[in-house]
Amino acid sequence: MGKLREIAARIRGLFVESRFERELDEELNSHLELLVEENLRHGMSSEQARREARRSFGGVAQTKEAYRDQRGLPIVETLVQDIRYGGRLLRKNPSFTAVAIITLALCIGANTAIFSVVSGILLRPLPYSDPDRLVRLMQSYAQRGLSPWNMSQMNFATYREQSRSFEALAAISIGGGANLTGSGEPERIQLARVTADFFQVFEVEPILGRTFRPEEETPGKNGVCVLSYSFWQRRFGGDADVVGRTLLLNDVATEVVGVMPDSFDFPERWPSVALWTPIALNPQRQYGFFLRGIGRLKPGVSPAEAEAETTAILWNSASQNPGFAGSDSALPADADLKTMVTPLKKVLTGDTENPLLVLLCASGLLLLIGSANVANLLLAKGALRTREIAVRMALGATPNRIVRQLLTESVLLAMIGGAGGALLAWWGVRLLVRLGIQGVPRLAGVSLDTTVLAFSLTVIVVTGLLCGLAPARQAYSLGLEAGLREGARGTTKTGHRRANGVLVAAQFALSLLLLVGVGLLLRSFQNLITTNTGFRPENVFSMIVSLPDKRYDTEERSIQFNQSLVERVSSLPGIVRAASVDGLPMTGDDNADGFVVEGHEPGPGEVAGVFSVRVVSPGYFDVLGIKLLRGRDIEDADRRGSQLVAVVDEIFARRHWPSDDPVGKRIRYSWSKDWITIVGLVGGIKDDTLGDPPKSHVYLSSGQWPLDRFYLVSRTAGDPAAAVSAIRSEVQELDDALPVYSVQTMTQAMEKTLHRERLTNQLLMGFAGLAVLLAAAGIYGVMSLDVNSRVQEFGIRTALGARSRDVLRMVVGNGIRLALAGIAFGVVGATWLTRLLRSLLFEVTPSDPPTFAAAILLLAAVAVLACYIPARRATRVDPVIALRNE
Amino acid sequence: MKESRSDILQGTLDLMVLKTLDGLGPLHGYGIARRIEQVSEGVLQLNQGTIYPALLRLQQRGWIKAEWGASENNRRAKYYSLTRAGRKQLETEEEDWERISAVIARMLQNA
Repeated sequence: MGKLREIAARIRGLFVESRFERELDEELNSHLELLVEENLRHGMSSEQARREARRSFGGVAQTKEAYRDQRGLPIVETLVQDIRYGGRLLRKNPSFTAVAIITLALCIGANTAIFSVVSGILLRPLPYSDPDRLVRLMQSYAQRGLSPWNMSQMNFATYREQSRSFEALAAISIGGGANLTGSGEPERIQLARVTADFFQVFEVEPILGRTFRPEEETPGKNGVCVLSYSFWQRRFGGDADVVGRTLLLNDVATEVVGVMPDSFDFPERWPSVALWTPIALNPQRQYGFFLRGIGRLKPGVSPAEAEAETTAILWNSASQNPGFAGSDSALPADADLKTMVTPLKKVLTGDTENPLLVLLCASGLLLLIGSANVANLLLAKGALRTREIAVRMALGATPNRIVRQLLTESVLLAMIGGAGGALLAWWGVRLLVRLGIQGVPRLAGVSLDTTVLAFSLTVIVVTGLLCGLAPARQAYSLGLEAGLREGARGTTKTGHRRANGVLVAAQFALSLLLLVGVGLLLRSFQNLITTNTGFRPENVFSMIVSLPDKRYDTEERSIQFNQSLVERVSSLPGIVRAASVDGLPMTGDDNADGFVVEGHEPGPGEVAGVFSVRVVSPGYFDVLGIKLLRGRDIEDADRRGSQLVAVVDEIFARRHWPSDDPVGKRIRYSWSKDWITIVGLVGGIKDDTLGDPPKSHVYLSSGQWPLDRFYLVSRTAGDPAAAVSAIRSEVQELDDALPVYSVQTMTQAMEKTLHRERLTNQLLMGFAGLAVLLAAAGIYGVMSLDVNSRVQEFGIRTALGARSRDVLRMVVGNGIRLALAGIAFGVVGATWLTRLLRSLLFEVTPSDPPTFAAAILLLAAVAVLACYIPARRATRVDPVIALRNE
Repeated sequence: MKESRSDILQGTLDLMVLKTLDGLGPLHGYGIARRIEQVSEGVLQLNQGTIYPALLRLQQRGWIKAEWGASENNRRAKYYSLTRAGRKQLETEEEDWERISAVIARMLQNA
């Protein structure tokens, strides 16, 4: 009780300092007066009485000090004192403080933000129950270029029936969209066609209504759908009566049976799925490979075991029926046919793993460089304080007290920098998430990772503490007298300088690593954007038109619509030419099929080659700027009933007829008997991304092959944006219930494929820039210190006849030696580390000499510049003044 | 250090202050110091200043309270007096002291 009250009273005592002091003075004075009076009464002289009173009272100052110690909390008070003192010191050296704090904040901020994003994407568990058991099931037939390969309906039904590895196995159809019409604006929505037990795989319950019943995945009964939460909110304002309502999807009446919770979103992609609807599954269909399996493994079953089991099922079924594996003849024994069971998380993370890890390494390097810089700054400053500390020890400060004060200063610095870093990290994560980088999955749920923040803070703070203590250690080891003398001269010990030198060299080594890595990626990017795509994207724009098969129920009708739309748009003012195609480059829209080439028929047991097929209208090559090398373009006359024609590209031609003219040769679909005559040869193009090698293309005529969904591509004379509304109204005139969507220029489409690279590169460039700055600051600080501590030496040298050029060369030479040593280590490290970048590089080798040379030159130049300023100062030393100081 | 100037244990000084205030009623620091010196008949010669941290500690623990009043020479002086908690504390400390000193006395006689 009493003890508690005492502590409370002591805490109060911290705050009412001045009143306490006044009253204490008064009380002690009155005590002394009483003593004096009594002594006077005993007959002493007033002088004697006063002296005797002081003697019996004891030391007034000591009493006061003891009293003060009793009054407050001495630990807190000295802490407050230290913080005040530290704050004053930091304010007194604003440039040191600013550099240190900015370094700390940037390093902690960048590192934490990047790591948060990385862990949010790569490490964060999927938002489904027991997510580690969720897998994707696909097939692979590498010899036919099918890897990964989607499943047919028959494949899926067989796995679902025979496999014992899965608790639940559902299928989802790739690429789903529908025109939503009826009430309100016609709208193109994203949808996923799934089998009935899809939601059971994820073990999620709807918040309204129900999910699908098993019988609803059969044709005729599948006119139902489950809405996503966001679509329900957006289109229906969260109306609870939505269940039971009927929507028109591609003109087919579809009843809403349920709504999923906000947290459920699969497939996770942009844009999000608006609704799920059952596949009308036909287990007998062995062609048409468009399904992906999503399964929940039974507890204890590994993906590898599931893969082995389903592969056995695949082989077994294919040996009884080659069509099961998409083949029209018996499978060769060495067919590389198998299933692929991949953990869902790996699927969703996709190919972002490598770039993210590179970013992570870069920010980690930056943190190291930053730590080295802070260490350097503190060491340098500490060296200048040896004398101050020696003086304070001489005046009676205990070693403990000094260590505590130095610690307080370092921690103060680290805390301010850390606070800035935390702020920066928080802002950085928000920025990265808001950018919503195209092609980076799982970004939406990423948030600041406090563990990581704590880690970065710890690294920096510990560095700060260790280096902050250096002056105290030195003062100890020197001893008082030496400390005073050493400090008086303002020189620093050589051991100290060596530590600084090592840190500077390390900074240069790390910076070189970063610079080389970033340089390689930039060169690679430069190669990417200047790579020859085979087409001219300028002034080309596209939009998608999708025809619901209920109204466009005959092939004639679809072909008719396609032709009239292309004609009408081509004749619009400002449009040079328009055309249609079912898969535009750089959109990821691909369609591939097996083709047999006349004269190159596959023998028994061999499989037909698979090539990308595009159905195009006349003028497509013209619009996109693809060169016609031989023969002719697709023409209006190539319509139904006339001879089937194709145009192939040079990659296809080179493969089959390296020396012959392909025009006049014939090919056919592997599943068809009808021969298609090649009438033209065009240049090859880059299709999926700029980095992939070009692939073989077969172009067919849109007059002969109907399309229910196609890109309308136009080349404009001027600004493409102006033509968009005119085209829209042409579409509306032909059919007012057709939405037009995915309007974009070709340049935008290409930009999207580069979005991730561009952002990664910008971040990396930022890191590299920072690293160079930090390295420059580091070498500048050390050389300045060096020059300051050798003023006398320079004075003597100048007095003895050294010219300023000699002094300059000496100082800069010293600095450069440090930098070069670091750079040399960096080069060794870089040749070893950049090999890890290989998979990210396009047409650049990891040991690209120009990149290395540029990085080395840049760093060396920075070092020379940073050393030049202190070196200039050294040349201005006036020998008279320098020697007089001695 | 001379034999006669025994260092006093902190707790002992507290007890002596409490007992003095119990016996004589409100007193200022000087009065308390003088009283302790008188009673100890010169065996304890404390630096009178050391009494002030003790007085503060006892106040912080709520055993004594202080009020400003006029001294014999008509100066302002701080007068300390026992609180109820202080009186109870004094009783327990007296009992403790007696018990312990009895034990020590017995030890010294018998051993």
